[in-house]
Amino acid sequence: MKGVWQVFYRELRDQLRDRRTLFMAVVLPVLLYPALGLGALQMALLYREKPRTVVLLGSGNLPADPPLLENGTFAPRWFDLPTDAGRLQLVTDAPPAPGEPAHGRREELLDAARRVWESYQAEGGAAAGQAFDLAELEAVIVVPDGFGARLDQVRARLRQPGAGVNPPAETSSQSPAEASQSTPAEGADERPQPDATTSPPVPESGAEWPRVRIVYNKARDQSVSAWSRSANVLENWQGAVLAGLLADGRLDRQFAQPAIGPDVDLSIPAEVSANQFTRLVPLVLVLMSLTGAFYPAIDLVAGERERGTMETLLILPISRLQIVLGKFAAVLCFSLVTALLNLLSVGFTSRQILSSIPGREQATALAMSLPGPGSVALLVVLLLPVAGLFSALSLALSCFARSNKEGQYYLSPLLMVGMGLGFYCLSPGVELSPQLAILPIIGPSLMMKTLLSGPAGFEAVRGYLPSVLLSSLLYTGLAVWWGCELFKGEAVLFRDSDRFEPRAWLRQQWRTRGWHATLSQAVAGFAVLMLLRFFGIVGATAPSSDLSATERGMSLLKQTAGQQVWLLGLPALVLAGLCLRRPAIGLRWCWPGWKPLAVGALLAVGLFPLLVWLQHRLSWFFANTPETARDLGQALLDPAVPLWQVIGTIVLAPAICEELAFRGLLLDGLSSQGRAWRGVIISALMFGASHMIPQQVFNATLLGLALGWLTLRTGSLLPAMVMHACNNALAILFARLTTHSSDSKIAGWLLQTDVSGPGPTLPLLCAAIACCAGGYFWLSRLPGPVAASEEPSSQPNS
Amino acid sequence: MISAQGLTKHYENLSGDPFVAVDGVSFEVARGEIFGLLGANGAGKTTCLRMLGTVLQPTAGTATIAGFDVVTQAAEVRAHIGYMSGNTGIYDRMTPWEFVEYYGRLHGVPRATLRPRMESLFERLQMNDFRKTPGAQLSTGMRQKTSIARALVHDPPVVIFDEPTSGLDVLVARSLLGIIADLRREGRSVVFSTHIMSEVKRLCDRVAIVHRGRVLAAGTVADLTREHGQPDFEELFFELVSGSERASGSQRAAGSATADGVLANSSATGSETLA
Repeated sequence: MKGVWQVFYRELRDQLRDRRTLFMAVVLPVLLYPALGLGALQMALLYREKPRTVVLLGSGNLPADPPLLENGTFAPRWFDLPTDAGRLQLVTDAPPAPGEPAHGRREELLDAARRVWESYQAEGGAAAGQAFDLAELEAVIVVPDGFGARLDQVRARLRQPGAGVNPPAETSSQSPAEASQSTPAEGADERPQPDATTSPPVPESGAEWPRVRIVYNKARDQSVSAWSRSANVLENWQGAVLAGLLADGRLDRQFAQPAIGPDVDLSIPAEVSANQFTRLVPLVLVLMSLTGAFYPAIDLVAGERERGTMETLLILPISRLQIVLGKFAAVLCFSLVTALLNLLSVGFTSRQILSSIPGREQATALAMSLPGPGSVALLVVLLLPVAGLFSALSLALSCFARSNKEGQYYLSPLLMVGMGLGFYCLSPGVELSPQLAILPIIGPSLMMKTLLSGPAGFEAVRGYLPSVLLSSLLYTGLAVWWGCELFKGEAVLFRDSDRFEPRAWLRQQWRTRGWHATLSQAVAGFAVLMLLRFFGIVGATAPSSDLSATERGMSLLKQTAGQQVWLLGLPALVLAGLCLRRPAIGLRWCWPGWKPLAVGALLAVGLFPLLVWLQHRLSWFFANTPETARDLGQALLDPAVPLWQVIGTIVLAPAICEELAFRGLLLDGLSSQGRAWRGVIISALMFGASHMIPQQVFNATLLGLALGWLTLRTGSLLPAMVMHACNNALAILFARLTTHSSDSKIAGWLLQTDVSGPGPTLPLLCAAIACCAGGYFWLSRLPGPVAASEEPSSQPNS
Repeated sequence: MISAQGLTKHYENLSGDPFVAVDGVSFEVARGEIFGLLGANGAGKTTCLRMLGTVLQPTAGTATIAGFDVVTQAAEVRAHIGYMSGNTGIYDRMTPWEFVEYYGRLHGVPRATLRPRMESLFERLQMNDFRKTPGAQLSTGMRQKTSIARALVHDPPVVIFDEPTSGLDVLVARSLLGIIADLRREGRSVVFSTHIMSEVKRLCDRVAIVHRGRVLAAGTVADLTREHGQPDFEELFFELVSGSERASGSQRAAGSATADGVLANSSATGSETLA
């Protein structure tokens, strides 16, 4: 411990004396965000949106009331904000005012707009679109002939008592194409006179009521922008037109929106910005804890080797673990400090910017949306696993580098992965779930995001806290341990500048594959299997909700069995085939005799009630079961689902596939070099981690310990398979017993139900403990593994 | 004090071809004796000393230092040796005083002992002028002295020097050799490797001539010159090395000759069958 502290203290002091590290960790965050904030403010001041040009055809056809145009442009009152008027430039075909000089560009635009509209009416979209883009038009508003006149006509009719409400059909036989050809002047001349007295309103349903159209191209940004602005103006204007119609028809103006009133938005501008800030927090913390770990980690390992001090360090009478832990603590320290300083700086800058926005309610809004002290404390706690994993990984990766420069190469992928994960968590659709909670980096950062999402955040994340922290601790521990293993290996510390040739390396791996898997093969194998599992989850399709419960359950069962076989069992076999000289030896695929199998069954019978009891005791600890798991649980109980399907999916497939993977390949590699306990514990943790749902993680880890021990003790995979199958069969039995015949005599004898569900009775527990003890005793009297002596001892000839 | 028995080290590069760096090296070093490993660059001296220093694990063979096994009792071995090589650097952002103190503390030297010992070391090695200068600003000689102080701070009974004089100017090298001679007077065992004949002649009680990972000859300089009937030590070294080269060369030639023979035979068989 003293050695760890001394190494830590030295590294910390050394890094503090390094100007580069200090700059990255302290100066950059303190200066960067205020500078960025200042820049953003400057940009906001300097930034002016470019006005968009809209061409309006048929300005003469517009009704006089309400007037869309004023002084040759849109009337300011149709804009949501008066300042928006400047963002839209209007070119109309109204005759220019007497004093205005003739404008070439204006005529050009008008001509082009007319041509586009003509070609649209004659030939359709494609040709018109080409002309539209060629002329660099942004949006064209077309007011059809006689629009205003007809509107006036309708309004006049509406004003009569007992008037109908249907619009009159077009009175002229002009097609729209012809209408657009006519010049505005002609249109004005031909305006039909309202004749309210002679033509009573005749309802002509289905007739086209000529209306104003906007022509634009959705594929061009400028056009979309022009369209959205002018559409907004026309929308507001249309509201006024409708209000006029309603008034004329002596109807309340609220009939314009008869069912839905205005929305109620409770947000205050400052709160919106504060929310934006808190959303950024997880990303800043993830990226900055990685940046903070990056440079010290390179300097502490690759830099040390480059300067030649590594060898000096290794001849000290302290263990490699102490050295790695000391260095890890120093890197972690820098990572945490960098992340927190960045966070403080971001917070401070945002506060300053927010407080520069005028508004009385802004202070309250800030107080409401900024996280409370409890949340901040939890945030720092959550930062630990993120920074810890990044520090350990950076440290381990830089073991491969011989110099600072190489270190940067090796660590860049980590930076990219970290950035990807950070941005992934930032996206609005991604929310904390049991599956995501146990993923490295994603789990903690999603938890931060939920925590900061509002006052209820703390409640929402509480259930996930154990799984996030435990899984992160596991990942960090694995990464530290990996770094330690790398430090122990001499090839990594005195690496020659060997040229790496993938083919030669692969050939070498193939040639030198042994009877048993190595540690690194096991770790790589686990990574591959977890990756496949992740793809399995992502690729899994939830059964459609219009299926019956039974059908849904069956399709889930089928999917689960498929995942077991194709994504776990088969890959494990393939990996074993690639890594092992004779897979059957490494996988311990041999007949152990009947007795070990019986012991496996006995242990399962003994352990299951204990596991149920533990889970029952700890039920407060676990979050609710996710939907799909509940559906699957339903399927187990559904009498309509054939029993063979349930047994195949829940009993046989896991017993074979999971055992091949976890007690086969992974346990073999992890327990290499005679370190049986390391293998049992880590394979159990991996087995637990692969189960995702908190209860199952817990159960599987405990079960995995027993299975691993059983496998190594008997030297065969089969007893573990039997035990696993028995355990799962008991789980089905237990579920059926508690649901279907909970009031039967046997159930009453075995189970007692309280608030947190059914649990085993005391006699059952005693019997279970007796079973376990019996199994243990029997197993300890059996002869040890026989596979070791049969194993060929000669080295493979290459 | 030091005993190496059949130390062997194989390396494997990424393409999987094995390379033998040290091949069955055995020697003994008594208390208060300076033992030299003499060999050209790449002869396997550094690998051999790194195995003694527990930084590398031998592929085969054993070695004990002060009675502790270098593989199974590595921590005790490290506590009993002072190790210094041209490769063992010092930290740029640490002063010599801090550096030596750090290593003293990590070696578990109690504070009360550490300070006077450092004072006397700094005095003896004439390091007081630069004890507060950051490592990055030290000259090669100063760095070497700092490394020696670092290697001696825990008062080890065994000192291992790997080419300590390489890159040093004549004056510094000379004073360093003086320091090594002092260590013998204090009763320490010293192993040191070099490719410079004069250093061996001046300092070493006994010497082993190493070439391609094997010990070609070992003994006192006088014994060696007498045994091989070559009064000039430098000539002796050259003769031994070139003799070994010739032997391995003829071995290789013999090997290829056999291969050729087989080839000739098979082609002859081939032509016979054709005919």
